[in-house]
Amino acid sequence: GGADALAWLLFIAAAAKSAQGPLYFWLPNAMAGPTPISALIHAATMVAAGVYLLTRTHAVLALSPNVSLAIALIGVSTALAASVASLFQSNFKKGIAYSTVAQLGYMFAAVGVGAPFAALFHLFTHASFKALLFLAAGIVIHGVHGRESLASLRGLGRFFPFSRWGFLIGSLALIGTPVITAGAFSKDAIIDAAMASPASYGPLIGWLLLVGVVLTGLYIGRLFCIVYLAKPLDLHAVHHDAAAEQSMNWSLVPLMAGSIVFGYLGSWLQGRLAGPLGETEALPGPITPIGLAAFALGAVGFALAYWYFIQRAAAPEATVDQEPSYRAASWVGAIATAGYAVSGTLARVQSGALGIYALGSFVGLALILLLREAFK
Amino acid sequence: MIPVLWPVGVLVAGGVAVLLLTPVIGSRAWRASAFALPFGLAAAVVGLAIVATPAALAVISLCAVACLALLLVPLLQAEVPTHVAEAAALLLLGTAGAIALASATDLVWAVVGLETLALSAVTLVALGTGERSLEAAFKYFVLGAISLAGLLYGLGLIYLGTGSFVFPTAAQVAANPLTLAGVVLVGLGLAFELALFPLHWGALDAYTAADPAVAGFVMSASKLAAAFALGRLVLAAGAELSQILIWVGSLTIVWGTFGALAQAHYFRRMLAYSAITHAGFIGLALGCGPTGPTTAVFYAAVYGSMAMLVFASLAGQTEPDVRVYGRVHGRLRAVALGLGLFSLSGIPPTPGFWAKLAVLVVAWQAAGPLPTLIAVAGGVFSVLYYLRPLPDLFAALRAEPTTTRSTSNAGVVFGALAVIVIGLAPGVVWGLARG
Repeated sequence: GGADALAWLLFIAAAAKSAQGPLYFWLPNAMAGPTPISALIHAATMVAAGVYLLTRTHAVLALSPNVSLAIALIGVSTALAASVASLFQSNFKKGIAYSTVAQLGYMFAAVGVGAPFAALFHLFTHASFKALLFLAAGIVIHGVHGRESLASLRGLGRFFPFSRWGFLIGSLALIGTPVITAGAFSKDAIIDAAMASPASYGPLIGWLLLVGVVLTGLYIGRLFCIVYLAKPLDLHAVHHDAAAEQSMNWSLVPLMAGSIVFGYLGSWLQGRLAGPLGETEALPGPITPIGLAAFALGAVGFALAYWYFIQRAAAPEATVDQEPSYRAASWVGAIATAGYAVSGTLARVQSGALGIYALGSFVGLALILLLREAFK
Repeated sequence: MIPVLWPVGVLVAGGVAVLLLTPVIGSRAWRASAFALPFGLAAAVVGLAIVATPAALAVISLCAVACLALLLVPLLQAEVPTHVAEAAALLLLGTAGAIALASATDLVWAVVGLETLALSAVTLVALGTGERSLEAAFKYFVLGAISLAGLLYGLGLIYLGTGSFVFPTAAQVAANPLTLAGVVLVGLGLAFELALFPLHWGALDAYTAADPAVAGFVMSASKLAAAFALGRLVLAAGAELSQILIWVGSLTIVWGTFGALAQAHYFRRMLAYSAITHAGFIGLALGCGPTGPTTAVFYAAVYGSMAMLVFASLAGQTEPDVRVYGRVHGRLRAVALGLGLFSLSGIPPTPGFWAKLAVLVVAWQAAGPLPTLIAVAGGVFSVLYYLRPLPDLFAALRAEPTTTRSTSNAGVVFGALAVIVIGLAPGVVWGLARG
């Protein structure tokens, strides 16, 4: 009924805003902007709006189990697909961007299994460690004259120690290292909530999300290993701009702190949000079996990336240099092209011929008056 | 004596005085501005002092538009430089006509005002450089004459139906189909001045080809005056005209949006098409119940400030090719043009946002979901075509400031001030519009 329609429309709007499902492709393309902008709008504020909308309206979603199921499925499949997509990016920032899409998928899945607080909590911690990853990447990119392709950045991250530490902390938080990073708390909250969900599909979602952590470790490990651990090739590209670098380094400090300690703010945050969310799901503690399992899987992924990109000296260029094609974007491109064609045709009616203008006025007026009579 | 005649009288006296001073002015454009400006300011002051709202908004906003346009007269690239005095006089006389049309209490009065405004506008368009301006002015004139014929025919029908030239009331319209037909014809004649589809053809070419120094005046003065007059007609005659205006306004938004999207490399024509879209917003608002006309004049006044800012930043550009994509000389002009474009696209907190918001609110209340959605879509897509020139503007910001040209920036500064003030305090204009 009405609740279903409402929930579907909210879901579609939120999916487009938060780059979910088939509507994700704008986000990596929007990485053309400078890195601080990416950190602000793609990690924290803009993409968060969709998740926020869904958590605020979860009462509507609760009335509509079908839409909840759809949200959970879209969230999980986006999380997995975007993780795979990140593995095939040749551009540093786009690799991080797909990671954002994947983490938003985790949040959507949380909303879908009826755990809006877990989604908001992950949104909160993710904002700090993803901004940390973006800004750490930005320091390297700034230091090598704005190069962004992984091939040209190979190994150059080691000349920016602060950025290297920042990226490492961000990566550990992303994988969910228990006790010492914020990401572990919120990701555990999502997976726990899915496993314990009253919905019949909850455990399935939970297992899929858990397995997905392998991919998380793999893609962030790939970026870290290629940029920060690999043997540098092009040493002349690096130029140190001490003053600018210092101020950029300082901007990482609060984000590092947030990536480490924000996880302990969970119960406080839950208390503050109890009013608007009316939420009761229990938060897991710092060490849980599921959390340890998730971290183990993430560590396996990271280790795989290390083995593949560092131990095997000759990394296959196909993985690093392949330009991604945005096939999913093509239908939007086709609609836009068609729209421009229509507007071009309509604009050509206004050719400058006075006779056409006079005729257009009369015919148009006659049509309007006739239609008015017809629809009265 | 009717109070609104005082500012009209001041403006007409100013126009005549400037024409008499033509030998003194010669081709020195700044003199034309200096002689004409006091009359425009005096008319605004007189209007503020003795005219009651909402007609006071018509007087003040039209005089403000005229004064800004007078500041731009020195930047007018007139075909014949000695015509600058005539340009200043036409600005004053056109404003007088616009005020008369906006505050008309009977239909003859409205027609006289409309013709004074329309003839001044046509001549101002013709003053621009090249064949293009002359051709556009001629077409604007012919199509205007056709729509005037329809308007006069409607005037006759109303007189047949009611026996007077006063705006007919809803009861009179319901009582006699002749009066209804007359009201519709008069409404469509005024819609030509507003540039509503399907009567926008001549206006579109005129807006495209007019010299930027006068284009802002031609576009905003006619919209303002027509919005006031149509609003009065709708308020008097009731629902019959409202329904037509809602759908004509929605169609106009669609047409203008498609047209503007097609102008990827033709900045002036994009602005002209977007003016059609804004006319659609005004038309839609006019059809929306008892508060619609108030919203429409608010929108028109805000649009006037934005259009004047955009054309002030474009005025005096020596770029020979009008297709050049929003390229302006100097950083101040680039920033001002950017502000104007942001405002026209309705991004908060610019005045354009408040205007669009007001229209969407009344449209949702009175016109229903479909016209509102059309208006929303028009607003969303307008961001696409308005902000497309921004990279060029940023390039202008980065470029070294050119010291070779010394053009007057007074119009740009005052236009930007108006836009900023209205953006921060839209309630002032809204209060004047509501009366």
